Amino acid sequence: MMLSTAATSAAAGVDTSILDKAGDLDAFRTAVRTWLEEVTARRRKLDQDGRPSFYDLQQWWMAERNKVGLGTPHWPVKYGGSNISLACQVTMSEELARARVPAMSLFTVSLNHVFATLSMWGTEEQKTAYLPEVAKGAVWCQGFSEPGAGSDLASLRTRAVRDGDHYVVNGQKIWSSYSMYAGHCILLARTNADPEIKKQAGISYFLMDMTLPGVEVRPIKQSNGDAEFAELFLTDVSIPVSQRVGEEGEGWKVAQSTLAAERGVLAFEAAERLRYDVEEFYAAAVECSASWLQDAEMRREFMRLFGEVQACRKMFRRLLREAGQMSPEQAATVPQVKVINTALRKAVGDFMVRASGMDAQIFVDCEDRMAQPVSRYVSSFGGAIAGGSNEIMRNIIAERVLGMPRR
Amino acid sequence: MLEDDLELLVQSIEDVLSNECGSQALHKFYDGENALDTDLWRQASDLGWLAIGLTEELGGLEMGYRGLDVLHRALGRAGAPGGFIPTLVGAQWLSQVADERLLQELMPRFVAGELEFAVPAALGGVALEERDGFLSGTSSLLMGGSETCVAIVPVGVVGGRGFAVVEADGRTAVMEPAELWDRTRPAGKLVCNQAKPLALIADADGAVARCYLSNMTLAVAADCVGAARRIAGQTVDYLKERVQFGKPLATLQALKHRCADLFLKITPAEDLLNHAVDAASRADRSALMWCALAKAAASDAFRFVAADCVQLHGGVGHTWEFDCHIFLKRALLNEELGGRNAILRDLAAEELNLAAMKGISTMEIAA
Repeated sequence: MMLSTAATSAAAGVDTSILDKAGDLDAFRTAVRTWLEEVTARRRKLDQDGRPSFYDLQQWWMAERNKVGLGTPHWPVKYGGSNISLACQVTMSEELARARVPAMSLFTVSLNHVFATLSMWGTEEQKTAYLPEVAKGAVWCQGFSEPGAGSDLASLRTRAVRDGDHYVVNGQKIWSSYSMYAGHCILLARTNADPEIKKQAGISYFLMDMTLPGVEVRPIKQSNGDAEFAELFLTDVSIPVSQRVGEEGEGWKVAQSTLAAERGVLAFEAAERLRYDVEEFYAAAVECSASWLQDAEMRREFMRLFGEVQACRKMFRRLLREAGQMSPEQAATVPQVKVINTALRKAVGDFMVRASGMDAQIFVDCEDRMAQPVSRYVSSFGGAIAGGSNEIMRNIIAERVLGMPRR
Repeated sequence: MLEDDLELLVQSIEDVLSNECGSQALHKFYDGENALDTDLWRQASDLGWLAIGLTEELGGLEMGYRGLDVLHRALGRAGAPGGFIPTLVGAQWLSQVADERLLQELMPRFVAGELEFAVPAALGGVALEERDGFLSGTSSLLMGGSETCVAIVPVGVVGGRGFAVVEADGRTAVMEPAELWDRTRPAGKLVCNQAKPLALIADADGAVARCYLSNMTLAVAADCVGAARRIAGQTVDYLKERVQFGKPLATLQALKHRCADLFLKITPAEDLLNHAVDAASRADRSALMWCALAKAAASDAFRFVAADCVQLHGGVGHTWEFDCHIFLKRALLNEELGGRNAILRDLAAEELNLAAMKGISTMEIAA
């Protein structure tokens, strides 16, 4: 298939042999696939030389992608991206899932949330200061939720008090993924605590350097045993006014663009990965004549989930097709997508635990815990709770999609 | 081209159904006070709906499974009465398995609206006995029930199984109507006494039966999705109007979440149906598996939705005057049509296993 928009030139020193094919989707796919085979071979070599840590592996993978201009393919060239079409991004996601390469979990916030926020709201200085670094693998975290402000995010209490050309920030943040590795944080804090104004109107948005005095990170161990997220304790942290995004009091509006970045290609790739997980699980069961294959109820449950995984992939394709001209009504269907997708992950994890029987109950201490059904299942709650719990999503579906009154 | 045609088609179908097949007309039909089924049938044949799925050589509009899908969703949404599913499934099925002679004989009558088909409600029922070219016995329940229909029924033929195409003549082949709880759907049994079939179609390898399954499951799944969306939307509207404790019920969070769940059930079923329709249109080798899974998902969703809509309506939800019961009964019948959902998932599991044995992935999605 020939596409009218070809990728424009990439940054200096980048091997553009894959990007050069962005105008021809089939050729692009082949090039990505070949490159991924080479990368996978190098990964095997890496593992033989001693298993890299999560952080090192993520940085290695980012570097490999940057070598061929696929680190930030969806960004404009100006900020270190490759500006490839949505069709190419989708093709790339399909191939990444197929090759079973690691998801870029460490960079979720930097590549998506930071980019979405700065490209819409950032000053030119902020964009040029941060985006090229992010493109090279700078890690960012998000400081939104607080112990007292989860689903009710707008009631957050971390205070930012203006003092000349700085804000002095005090408070506590929670559920901040990978903040122990992060150099910077996108932070929401209250600049106006007047109880007479709407609570959303008192919030401002900041870019915080994590090395500033007064920033303390305490990891939180989650139910699967990993410590992916952490608490942030902020004590008299002094943030320059130039690090504010948008006007004072506009933080809530700015944060909406950040949260919007969670949809789209990112979730698409995850759905593609789920396909291979389910196919592999089934192939392994056939291979070893797993007992659940002889259990009619279990088999039917599997077939139901198998259908839902495919439906989910189909749903994302529909959504991305519509994304080009997304109207507010279409955008409003996104909470539905979030609930369907995350509930399905829980159901698949739950099934895999039961289907694997006693074997699944045995703890194996290995790097890729997600390969273990219990880890997969207990981790799956994260998606259904984070980014607006599925209960909040149901409120949004009822009110914005179905038009049911708030009160 | 097809997209534009489909859009026009949807509009025309929805216009007719919203004018003719509103809630009041449907209730009158339920009470035997109008002939909505024959009125709709006449409109359908006049407007060419019956020819949607067939090829041009057979007098059709070449809109294939996509076109049929649009039609069945709209009919489901309207809760439309009549033998649309058996007739359209019968025609599509025959067009895929019958010989030229039989098609030349039957299809012009079908396209003109002069012929209804009856097909098995599900497979696995009684096979009629065939001896020296004549049929005897009583069939299992067939969907479609006009006295002069052409029935496609399972038959035990020499050397194996197959299907007979029999025209009900009121003497040797008699359609005995069965009254269903879902009054919108005609059904009956074919009683044969030395009946001469129009044709016998051998099915030693089960290919003809598989063809029935693909057509029937797609039609029923589309009906389920359309009907579920209708009754769910209607229920949300009712909750916005019904005031208790001084405010609309729609403001209560417990009910909001239930309403969200109605649509969260329907959406994946609808996407799976879209996938099955695409697979069938391409004659993909895993199409039957997707059709079976799509019907099971759509029917499960419709049953869940229809039942909860009764409950969400409260007292009026289980009265004869409100629409809920009409859709609940349609949902109960739909679960049986084409095969119960558990059986269809078993069938899909067999298909998946066969593909796995050959090392084929069934999950590729064409761009």
